[in-house]
Amino acid sequence: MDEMTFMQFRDRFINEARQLLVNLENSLLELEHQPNNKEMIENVFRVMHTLKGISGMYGFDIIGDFTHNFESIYQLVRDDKTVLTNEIFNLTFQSVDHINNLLNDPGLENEENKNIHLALNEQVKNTIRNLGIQKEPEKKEKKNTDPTDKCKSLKTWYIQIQVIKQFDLRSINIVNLFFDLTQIGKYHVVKGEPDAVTLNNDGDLWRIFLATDANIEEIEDIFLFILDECKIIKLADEDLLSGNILLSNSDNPVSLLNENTILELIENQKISSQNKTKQQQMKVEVAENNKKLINSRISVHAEKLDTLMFLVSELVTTKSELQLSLKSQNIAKIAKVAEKIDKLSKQFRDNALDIRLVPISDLIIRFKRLVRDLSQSLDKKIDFVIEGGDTELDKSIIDSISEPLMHIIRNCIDHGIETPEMRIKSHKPETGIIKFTSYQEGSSIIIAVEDDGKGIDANVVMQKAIEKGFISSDAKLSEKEIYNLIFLPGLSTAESLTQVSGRGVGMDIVKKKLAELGAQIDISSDIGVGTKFTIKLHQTIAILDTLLFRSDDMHLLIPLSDVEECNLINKNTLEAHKATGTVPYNYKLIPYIDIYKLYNLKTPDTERLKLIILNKQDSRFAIAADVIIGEHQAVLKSIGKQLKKQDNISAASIMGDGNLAFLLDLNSLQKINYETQTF
Amino acid sequence: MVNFNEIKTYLSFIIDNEYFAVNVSKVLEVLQSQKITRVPNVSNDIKGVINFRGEIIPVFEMRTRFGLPDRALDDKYVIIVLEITSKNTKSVIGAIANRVKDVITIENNDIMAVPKMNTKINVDLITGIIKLKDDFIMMLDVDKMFSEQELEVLSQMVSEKQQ
Repeated sequence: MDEMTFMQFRDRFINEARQLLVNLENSLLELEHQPNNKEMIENVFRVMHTLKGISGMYGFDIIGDFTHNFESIYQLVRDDKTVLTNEIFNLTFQSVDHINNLLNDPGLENEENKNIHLALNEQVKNTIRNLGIQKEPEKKEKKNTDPTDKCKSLKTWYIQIQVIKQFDLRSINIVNLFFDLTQIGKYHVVKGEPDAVTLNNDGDLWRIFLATDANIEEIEDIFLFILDECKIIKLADEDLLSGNILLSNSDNPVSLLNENTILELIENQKISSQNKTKQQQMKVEVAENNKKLINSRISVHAEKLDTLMFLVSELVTTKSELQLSLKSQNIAKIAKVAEKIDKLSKQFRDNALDIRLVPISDLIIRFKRLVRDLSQSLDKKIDFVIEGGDTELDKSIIDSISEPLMHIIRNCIDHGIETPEMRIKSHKPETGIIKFTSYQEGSSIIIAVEDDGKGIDANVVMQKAIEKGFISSDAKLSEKEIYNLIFLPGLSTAESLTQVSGRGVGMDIVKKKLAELGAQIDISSDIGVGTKFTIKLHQTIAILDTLLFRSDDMHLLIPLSDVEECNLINKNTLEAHKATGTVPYNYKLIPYIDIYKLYNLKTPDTERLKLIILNKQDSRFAIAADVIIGEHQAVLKSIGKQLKKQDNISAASIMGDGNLAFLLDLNSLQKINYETQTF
Repeated sequence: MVNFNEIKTYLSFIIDNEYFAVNVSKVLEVLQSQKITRVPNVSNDIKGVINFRGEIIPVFEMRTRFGLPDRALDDKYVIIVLEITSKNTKSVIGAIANRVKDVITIENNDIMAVPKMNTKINVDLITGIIKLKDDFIMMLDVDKMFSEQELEVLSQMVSEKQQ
């Protein structure tokens, strides 16, 4: 167990803790709507308890102590001694955030965190005081209740722990182990001498007598992290500790349990325990292997795994089939197997992509929280309505789309929804609605965020843009183009700067982030009725249907969805329009991007070139090619950081012959065009 | 577990008339005359990209790194695929040499310190000199050679030249 392994343990804890916090947040939000939901209160309590338990184990004592106080509050709630007030909710939400921070900064090295910590601790204590809790450590409570209830089924166990230096390294806090022991029963500790007979290692040896009704698994659970250094042996099927035997001489219980008896017992159990430790070792190994994958986990529907299993078995049979047919050297047979493999590989691909899909509802919890906090701090009343939370998206997309969506929702709350007074004045219900919808449309996923607020005033946006010099005062723009101005950096229509938004940063980031994902965003709005943001994105980004073409020696790809038409064009025509950077198309001139010039390619000798008309968000432009090869299902690969500066090429794909083709980034190509047009 | 840093086995290769060597622990594979896909608008020493075990990796021309004259690629070259570590991150790159020569095992006392050489070759990238019979082989620090910092400096130089 070295430093690395410990870090893995810790990472796992942090991961687990974060999941618990999400769970907690979810329950809290639910509770806020129905404060009497027993099940939810129970859940909150349980999560806090678990959090407290595991955080101590990994040396996050600060979290343990912190949550302990909370546990007390919620225990009162659970026991119907108090009701959940808004104050408690706010405090809890703040604390959830704080614990999240603590996970990164357990030593309170950040000054800000430290202040928050002290302030929150004070608040929590005050709350407890106000609620009139006499701080009654639950330790005692459990001790009192448990053993008396189930006295008859108590068994006595002997536990021996060999303390080794590595405990320190693993940050295993033995004191906490003892605390956990109190949860399951009574114990008595004898601190013994190093014992050379049973263990070769030097170091302290702890001997513990435990009376409990728990079974071996429960006890092992407590010592889970030091099982290798532990011996757990059952001494008797009755309670030797509180019973007449030990109670009579509780100062020195060991004298009663003869040292030799213990050794004998140990000897008897050796064989079985040896078997056990082997099993445990294997378990630990498996567990450690699992931990390597912890950094990002997804939960997968069992059905998808069944499909994977089925495909694997198919693959195995096909493989032996292939071996057989190779022996027979019958080409027709081999071809048949090859066909089967082709089909299988497609199924594998679909399955792999499918496994990576996660429901969008994983994200929504964060938004719920955002709506709650923001609307409260802005004194607005907002209902957050969700439709289609089970729509699935690729894990990596879910991760990167969260930030832009947060921005959009924040905007809706801050600028969209009016204050209750204003809403009443304009004959709207006092409570505003933000609606989050997601659904699948063909191979794309649509995410829409809609509010019923005041809408965007196109005139105001225009004026702002003119003021800031983004457009000239006599520019004629369509409504859609005006709304698109919002995505320009530095343009904000909010009259006052609030903490939330209005600084003019945000929407441009939204646009940029979404563009990185290959997503499109549209805005529609009606003054006084509301605003709707619609995002259209691909379900997976790993595989893309593209059009493959060749210019000189370069193979290039464009997303098929952006291709409008393929045409022929005379070189002369291109030459004639060269000065303006356009080509004629449908009796109109559209921008032409000369990739031959851009990439220093030779134009072919033929008289005619292929012209590809592209349509990106309703603006058309054209590029030329030597040969259009056809459709290509591109498995996209990053071209690596060394080549990052290539901003017109976003990825590469390996073609069937092993050569590479580059995917053109149409967004940045379009930009080039605007730049060249200006001079 | 063998500590790779202790392995004193080196892959030697030739660029023009010079002998170089790189520790085998850094070498993933040597590719014979694999076609390199040109990438437009990059600095001279990136010859392009190749598909290496399903990943796309850049291919560098080592000669320019040492200050040897650039040359057009003919049919005879090898790509040595290296795993380099810089700033604690590992990355895989390809490096072009004329040909590989040998795999040699050497003792510590075979390695000589780098003398003050009056050569065109960039001495910073050489960690030692191996004398093998009549040949002198220069041991390369590939981590340093392809570290991001080094790459940045280089790309700056290139862009300055272009201006």
